[in-house]
Amino acid sequence: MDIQLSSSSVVLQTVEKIGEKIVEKNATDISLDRISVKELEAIPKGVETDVFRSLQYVPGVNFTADLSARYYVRGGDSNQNLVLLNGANVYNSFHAMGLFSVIDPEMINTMEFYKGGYTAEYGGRLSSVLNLITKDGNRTRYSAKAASSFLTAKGVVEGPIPNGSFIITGRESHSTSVLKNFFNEQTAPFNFYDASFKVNFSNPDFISGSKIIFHGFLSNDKLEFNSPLREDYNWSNNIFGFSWFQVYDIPLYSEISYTTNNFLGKVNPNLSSARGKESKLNEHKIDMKYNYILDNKNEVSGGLQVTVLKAQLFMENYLGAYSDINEKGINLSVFAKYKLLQFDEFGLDLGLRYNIAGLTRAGTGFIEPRVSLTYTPNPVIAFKVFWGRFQQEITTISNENEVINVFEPYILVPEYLKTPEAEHYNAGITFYFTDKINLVSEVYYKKSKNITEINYDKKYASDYDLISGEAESYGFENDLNYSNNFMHFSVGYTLAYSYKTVNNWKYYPKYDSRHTLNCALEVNIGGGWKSMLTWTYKSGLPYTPIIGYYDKLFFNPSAFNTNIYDNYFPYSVLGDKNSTRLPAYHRMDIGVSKIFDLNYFRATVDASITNLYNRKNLFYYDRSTGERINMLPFFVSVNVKVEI
Amino acid sequence: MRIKYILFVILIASMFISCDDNFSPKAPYDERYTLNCIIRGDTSFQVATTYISYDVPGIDPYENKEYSFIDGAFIRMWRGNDEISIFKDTIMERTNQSRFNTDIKYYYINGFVPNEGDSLEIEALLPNGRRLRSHTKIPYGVKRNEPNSDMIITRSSKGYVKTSWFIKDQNQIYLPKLYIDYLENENGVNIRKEKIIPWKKLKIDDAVKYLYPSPSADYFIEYEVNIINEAMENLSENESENDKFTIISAILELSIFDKNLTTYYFTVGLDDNSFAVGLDEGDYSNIENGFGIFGSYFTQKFKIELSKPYVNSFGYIFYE
Repeated sequence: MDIQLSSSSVVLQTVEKIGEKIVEKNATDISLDRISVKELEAIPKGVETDVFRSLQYVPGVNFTADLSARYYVRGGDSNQNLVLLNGANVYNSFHAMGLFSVIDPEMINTMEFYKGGYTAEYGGRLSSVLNLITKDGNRTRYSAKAASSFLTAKGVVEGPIPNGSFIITGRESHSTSVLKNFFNEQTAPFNFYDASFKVNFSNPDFISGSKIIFHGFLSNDKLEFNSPLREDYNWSNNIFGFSWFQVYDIPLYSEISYTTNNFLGKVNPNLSSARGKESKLNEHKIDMKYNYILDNKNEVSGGLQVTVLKAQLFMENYLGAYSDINEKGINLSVFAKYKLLQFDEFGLDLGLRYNIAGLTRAGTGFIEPRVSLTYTPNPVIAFKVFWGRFQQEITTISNENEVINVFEPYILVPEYLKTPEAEHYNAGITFYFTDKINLVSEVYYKKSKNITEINYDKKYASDYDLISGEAESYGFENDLNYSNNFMHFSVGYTLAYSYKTVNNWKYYPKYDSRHTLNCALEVNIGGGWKSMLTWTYKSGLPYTPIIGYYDKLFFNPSAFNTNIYDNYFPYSVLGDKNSTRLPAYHRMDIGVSKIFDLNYFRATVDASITNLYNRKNLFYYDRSTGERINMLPFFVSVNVKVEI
Repeated sequence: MRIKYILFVILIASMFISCDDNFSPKAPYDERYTLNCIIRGDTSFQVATTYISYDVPGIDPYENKEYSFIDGAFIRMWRGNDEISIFKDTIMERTNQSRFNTDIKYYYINGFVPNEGDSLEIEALLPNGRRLRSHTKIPYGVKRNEPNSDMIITRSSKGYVKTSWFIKDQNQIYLPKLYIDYLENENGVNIRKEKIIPWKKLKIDDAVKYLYPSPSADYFIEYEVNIINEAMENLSENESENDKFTIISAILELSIFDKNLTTYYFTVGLDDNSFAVGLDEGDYSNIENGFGIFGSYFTQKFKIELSKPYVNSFGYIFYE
């Protein structure tokens, strides 16, 4: 018998192994989501893969619109979220006025997201911590990647250097016509870029057991109409840092780092009728952390953090009253932790953070105890609880009534207000049904006081910019995951309640959604093909109803006249704030990618459809014309990536 | 496997098509009233209006074709403790009938000249018994900052002509207007006229656009000499005989808004950033029990001399 064999090729699944923490079963990690780069890529990309947008699939995280990457965690405002990039605080971390984060996923190595219950080494925010660590770069060979989407072109170069490695990333917008989908067909001539670098060096002949890292991150956004009658926007972030990790002969390691951050946000009105605004932040931060491992596996750690922050702001509010703020604060805080890890079934993280000197006078002396506990009686189930106090000394002057907020300047909490603080109570159960299926369920209760709210009644420069209020939120979150070699499926459901009380008026904040359901499916179809599907359902967000209209007297700003005879236009009479609900939001995105392995390079082509069934999710009604503005429509996008 | 998967996705997607729902952003209608009155410092004819709120079947307020003016309101205004003025109602022809095809209605008083510092109170008693009340204070005038102002325009004036003034209240805004005060001889009779001078001249896409000042908190204004010269030339653009024009002077007219009008102006006269989308915009009003504005502005004039050689250089007669 003569059987002829024909040749065929099989493309194996890509395996990209990057630094990954091994999670012990007694790890005190309640409310912590570790999001891998692989998980980011398992979400249909849409216009651009986005680190912040990927958070919307995490139970407990809320977004108010497709058009904004701002996120709200367990009933907290967006300014209560700390974003750390290699230890540096990132302020206003958005491109294109909030559409995307400035963080290019290509540069990210690990992404830890605490929805609350973060332990004592983190401070300064009331709601969440997103800790991003960038890649070190390839230590064995030089490589390069180039990618292009409808919006940006980007590149990555990495490779070894003597006793270390480097990585450089860069991304720049090349066309913004796709952004019309986001801005209701309005032309948005954005021009933005971001770039990062990281160099690490580890030479036993220099300092034995050390690793030294230099890193930097730059981003810039411009929106210029090239018309003296239109306003111009300019945003930039410049972050540079240095870290020195040291492992000693005894079981002690330390990390000393310095970071500096310069942020500038400016609205130049030119000769338009827009209002000029300018926000500048300059921060220098020194972090020192020590961790000692005892013979019984328990750990003792402590640290010191010094932050010098200068905040300058000039802006006018809608009543024409200006704010001219120029202030500087120095924060000196220490933390100490004891981690009980000697028992396999039981883990305890007992910590304390103390503000020796606050950025603000009122913040000095605040004590933040944190307790996190994990009990794993058997391999199938783990119980976790957390209690802790948190303080925040910086805030933003942001207008909560804006559904798209393009200017959110950070300032120190003013002296006339008490420092915002919060308490978190979290409890959870994790079920490991099999090695492929797990379910994480958590309940939380968060009570915040002295939170800052914009003073909408500020009429004169001497009036206060902010007033204080209280917030309360609680909820129940569930995250079910199933994975095998060919697919990954996850379902997240959140039942959440959040309230704010300001001026003795209790209302639902704009991001309060009662039910949220997220489904994500990734299937490795074979032959280099992969497909992704996500579906999100969110019950309606709060909305202030219209109870009628009246004809309001308007003035023409460019040629003021006092024609009060007939210069009237309809204006809405509003009911109680956020007292009704918008219709439910739901959207399905799908994506498909194909890897082409060629001789010297590999190409990945990725196509995705946003809003597959073209659901008309209501964004808002233009109150003056009654025009209904919907969120993202059905649209197709394509990304191409080439790796050498 | 691949085909089954694609079919599965299409099946799921089709389940949601035509899921769009009807939603109304409105709650039951609740009646409200407005009173508007801006006391002008440049005239003795003062106007007030009253309106009632309305609802429309849909969500486009322009669907309303019914003029919502409130007839029969009894509007009184007090100056200090003793002087009282009662507004009368009247009508005027509406030129723009795109929304309403009725005449424009309003209330007025004649012969009321506001003085700086006057305290005014207004009350509108509506036919249904509702009372809308408010008060305001006519702002004080300002003093020209002469050392920092150009007092005369001559042939050698270059660059900008500046006028600045001393600010008494940080919470007020100012609206400047520069014009040429002149006489034009029409059939042997000198008629007094004014030619308003633009503040900026812009060239956008080969088209020339003139800008005029907007109210602002600035305590000075600068006009380009070139634009003033152009306005001087344009005075006689339809006339061949330049000696029909006698130039008296340039006048900088400054309107000073009171605090209420200043705040109201910022809510309706200025845009916020155009990409910011506000939903629950604040609605400033100083009317008790209703919406609207009771404000005032005081107007004063600063003379800027024009030198004789400067006036003559355009072929006009210098007023002596």
